[in-house]
Amino acid sequence: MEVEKIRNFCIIAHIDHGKSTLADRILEKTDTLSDREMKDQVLDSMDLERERGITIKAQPVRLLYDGFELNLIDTPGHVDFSYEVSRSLAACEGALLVIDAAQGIEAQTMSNIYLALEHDLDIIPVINKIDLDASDPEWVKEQLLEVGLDPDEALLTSAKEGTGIDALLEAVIDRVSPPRDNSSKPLRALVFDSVYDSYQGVIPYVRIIDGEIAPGDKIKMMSNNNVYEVDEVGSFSPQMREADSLKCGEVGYIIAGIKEIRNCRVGDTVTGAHREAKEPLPGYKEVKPMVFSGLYPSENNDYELLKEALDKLQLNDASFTFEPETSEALGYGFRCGFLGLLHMEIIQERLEREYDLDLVVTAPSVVYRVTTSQGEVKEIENPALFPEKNKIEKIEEPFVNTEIKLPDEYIGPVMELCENNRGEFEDMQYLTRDRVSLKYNMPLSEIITDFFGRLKSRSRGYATLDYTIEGYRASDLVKMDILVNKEPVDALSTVVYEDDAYNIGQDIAKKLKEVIPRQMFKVPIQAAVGSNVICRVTIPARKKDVLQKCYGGDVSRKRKLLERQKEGKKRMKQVGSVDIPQEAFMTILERGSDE
Amino acid sequence: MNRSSFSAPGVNTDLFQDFPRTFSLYIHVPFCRNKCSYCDFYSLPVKKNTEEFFRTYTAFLGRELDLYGKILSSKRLQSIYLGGGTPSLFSPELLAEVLVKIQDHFSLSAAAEITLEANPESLTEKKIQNYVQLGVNRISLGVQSFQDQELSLLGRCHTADRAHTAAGLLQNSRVNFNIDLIFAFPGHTVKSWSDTLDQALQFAPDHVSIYNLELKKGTPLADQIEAGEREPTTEEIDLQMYKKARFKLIQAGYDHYEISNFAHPDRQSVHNKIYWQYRPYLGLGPAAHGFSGQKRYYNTDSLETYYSRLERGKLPGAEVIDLSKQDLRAEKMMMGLRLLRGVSKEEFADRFAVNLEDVYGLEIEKLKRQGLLGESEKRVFLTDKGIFLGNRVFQEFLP
Ligand SMILES: Nc1nc2c(ncn2[C@@H]2O[C@H](COP(=O)(O)OP(=O)(O)OP(=O)(O)O)[C@@H](O)[C@H]2O)c(=O)[nH]1
Ligand code: SF4
Ligand SMILES: [Mg+2]
Repeated sequence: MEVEKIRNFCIIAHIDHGKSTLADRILEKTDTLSDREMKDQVLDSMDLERERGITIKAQPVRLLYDGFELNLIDTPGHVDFSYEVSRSLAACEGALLVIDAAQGIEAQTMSNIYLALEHDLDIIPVINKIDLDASDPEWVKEQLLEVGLDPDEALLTSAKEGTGIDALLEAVIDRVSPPRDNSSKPLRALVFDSVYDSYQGVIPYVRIIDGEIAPGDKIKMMSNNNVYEVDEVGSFSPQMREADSLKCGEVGYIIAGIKEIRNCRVGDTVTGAHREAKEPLPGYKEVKPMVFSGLYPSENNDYELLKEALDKLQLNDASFTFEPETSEALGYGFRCGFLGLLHMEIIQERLEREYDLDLVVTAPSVVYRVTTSQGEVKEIENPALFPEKNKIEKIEEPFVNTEIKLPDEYIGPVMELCENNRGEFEDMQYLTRDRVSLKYNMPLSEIITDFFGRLKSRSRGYATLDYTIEGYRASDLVKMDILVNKEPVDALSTVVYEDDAYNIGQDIAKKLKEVIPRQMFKVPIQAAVGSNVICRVTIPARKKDVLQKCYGGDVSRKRKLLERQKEGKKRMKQVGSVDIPQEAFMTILERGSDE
Repeated sequence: MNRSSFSAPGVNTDLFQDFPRTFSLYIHVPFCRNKCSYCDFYSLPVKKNTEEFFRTYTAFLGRELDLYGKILSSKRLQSIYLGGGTPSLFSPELLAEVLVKIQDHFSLSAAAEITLEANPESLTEKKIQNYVQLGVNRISLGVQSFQDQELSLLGRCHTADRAHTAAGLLQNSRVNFNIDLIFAFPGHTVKSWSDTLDQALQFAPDHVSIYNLELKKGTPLADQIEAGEREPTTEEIDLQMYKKARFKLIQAGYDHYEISNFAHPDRQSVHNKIYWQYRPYLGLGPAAHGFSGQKRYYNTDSLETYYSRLERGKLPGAEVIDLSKQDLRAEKMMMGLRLLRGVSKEEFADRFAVNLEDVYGLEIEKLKRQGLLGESEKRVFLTDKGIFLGNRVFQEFLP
């Protein structure tokens, strides 16, 4: 295909505004999939995406329409996956900016607009869900004007009913610029994503910026000078479909027997081994994880498997980080960084599902900035590594600007919740007659301790939460240790606001008492700040545990029961002489029964 | 452990070659008047005394016995146990048929114990006399509780009054008898348990079995607890009740000889000891199981399949479990330690051709350190603490 006939664009929006549904209609209109293959949000192909009804991975697909080749990338809307969006943008010349006609412009709409402008993309505003009674396209147009976009350029669609799709495709062809024609230059392809396949090795997803590529070519990764021979290239339909070549401006994949995971990084530039480009492409900014937690294999022997799984998964999601760490309680594992809580949850689930691993996860933590008495500034993401209290001059923690949207009948309880979590009130505005936007400044650490769950329960599920990082502020924080049978358990240490230490300590101790089974001896559980024990509960000793009726001497039945008991014990972590079940390490996350 | 289907080639009959010269026989009678609220045994509720229905059953038991008559080379029994279900639903005539059939094929050793399980609602003076005349020399009475309210919670179909009558009849008949009692069910108090024990002791049974209630998934009682309609008892109460029973029964002159069983001297259950000593027994009837000393087998747990297989002249087995050396040793410990005398080192060595210490030295040391196991020159056994925490001990021996 000549370059003038190619259009590369992505669909961006706030979560749930209808990107994937809109992509469905576009696929239908262009007959990309057969009726049999078609289903709702067909580009959400991971089980996790389908179960949760959200997009997690950006998904490219090639369409043919009216003699044009359209490369579309559907992106996720949730803030935790914004790295997927920014990578996709670099492979495109245009973006469909979808806005829910009833919700209007929201936090991620704004950050997506900025991202698109940064990448110099042609933006086509699309006001979607116009079929809804509550939709108000005129109001959305006013909002567009306020943010500097031309409201007259906005298209109106209902992805649900399929209205406005023809006009949309015409607009893509008319208004998105074709890629620049650099066919004759030496090859430069931007790796914007990749997957690992056990037969083919690493498969990079690329956008060809300069030159072209075909099987048999020798290619070189510009970051490390490794050379490979191309076995296959192709495009996405959305499954991989082999092609003769990938031409300048096209989006597709390369199979080149890249076995070593570390040798192919997202953001790298692929060039020709014989005809090398002088400069690599700009690549990507590194993202900075905001939330950290320890991931440990439940079976110590699975450490290597976990490491391998993390390596492979990172190929497919370069926005999480991991570093080996050891815990006295949990053994060898990794401290992993995530963009947010949802991201953390998704990574854990993918590890468990796609790599069949059983994990113990410690409660999430933010990155604290600690100034020591010597004036040294340290970034600490593992509470267990906090310096001693008397060696600390100042502790700072990340604060976020939160926006909570909710029906006004729940304002009271939700404001109370924010204030109990050290929230500072900023603003309140009525969005409609009965819908309100509340703005608070809050420590991120409060948000990640099940804040969302509690917000949902206080608003019967009606409140939504968005937050953006504001910056670091000094706080009165202390490290709280948990001692089980008088021994501190490193994986249970947390950093808490000093005034809350007593309540939180009690809460955690009580929860642990519920989840740690009785042992053969009494087990005290204490919460302590420094050497100061602030509360204590005791788990009574196990006194009777013996099967009685032994019907007709049936050994098998008895044995099964005993085996189950024994298996359960094996899955626990031994700390000193106490068996601690894995869920105990998450209990510090679940704060109180909503106060 | 290796499972195979009963009809798989090669497993059908070789397991029966393992049986030694003498062994025991269990016969399952899978019928009850009513289903108790905690019961997950294979037993079908039958409303009336349908003699015809039972006759069909005993006829098929006869066929199963005929088949074993052909397969087994040695046929000497040291005990017979008719369990259920409720075997006392059988009329003496029917029981006679079964016992005659057994003796068509097997010989009984001189002092063979023949136990019949009975429930109070179906036991009369006449029946007891007739059973005894037929050779039954031990009756195990399922009383469970002497409190009406509790009996109704347990879904038993007899009253406390009826239990009194039945126990009284047994006491007067002078037959060797056992009373079964249950404790630690929802709402059970130590006081009422203590009263039930006292009442049981009034009848001077030869043997008393006490079982703490185990909640089995899918039973009405377990469902009620799951639904939050009833509170299960706590571990503390369960322990108190167990201790209370131990104290009372030992005071009354009974030996605590197995975790759940108490008996006057010479009145320990011969048949149940076969299980605890991990010795071979043949099991007949649906859902019955047997043990050859090397392998275990399970009969089908459907009456229909049981009939249809026997009709075609086939054994009604469903599954054979091949036990490895490790399995056999572990199960020997698991069962043997239930007897408070414990496991004899010599017997272990004879049976497995390896010393107990060589196989389980580490486990035994650990359990001794924890105060759960005791050791003498000849035996290892549960300590007082170990009796309460038996599961902890048994687990250690599992492969
Ligand atoms: N009424 C109506 N509902 C729509 C329309 N478009 C999408 N939806 C619904 O909105 C919900 C979210 O749609 P998705 O297409 O998954 O939204 P998304 O933007 O891809 O969401 P993320 O990928 O998670 O950010 C689904 O329940 C859709 O059925 C529309 O035009 N009208
Ligand atoms: S009498 Fe025994 S076998 Fe029959 S239903 Fe009750 S518990 Fe079950
Ligand atoms: Mg989507």
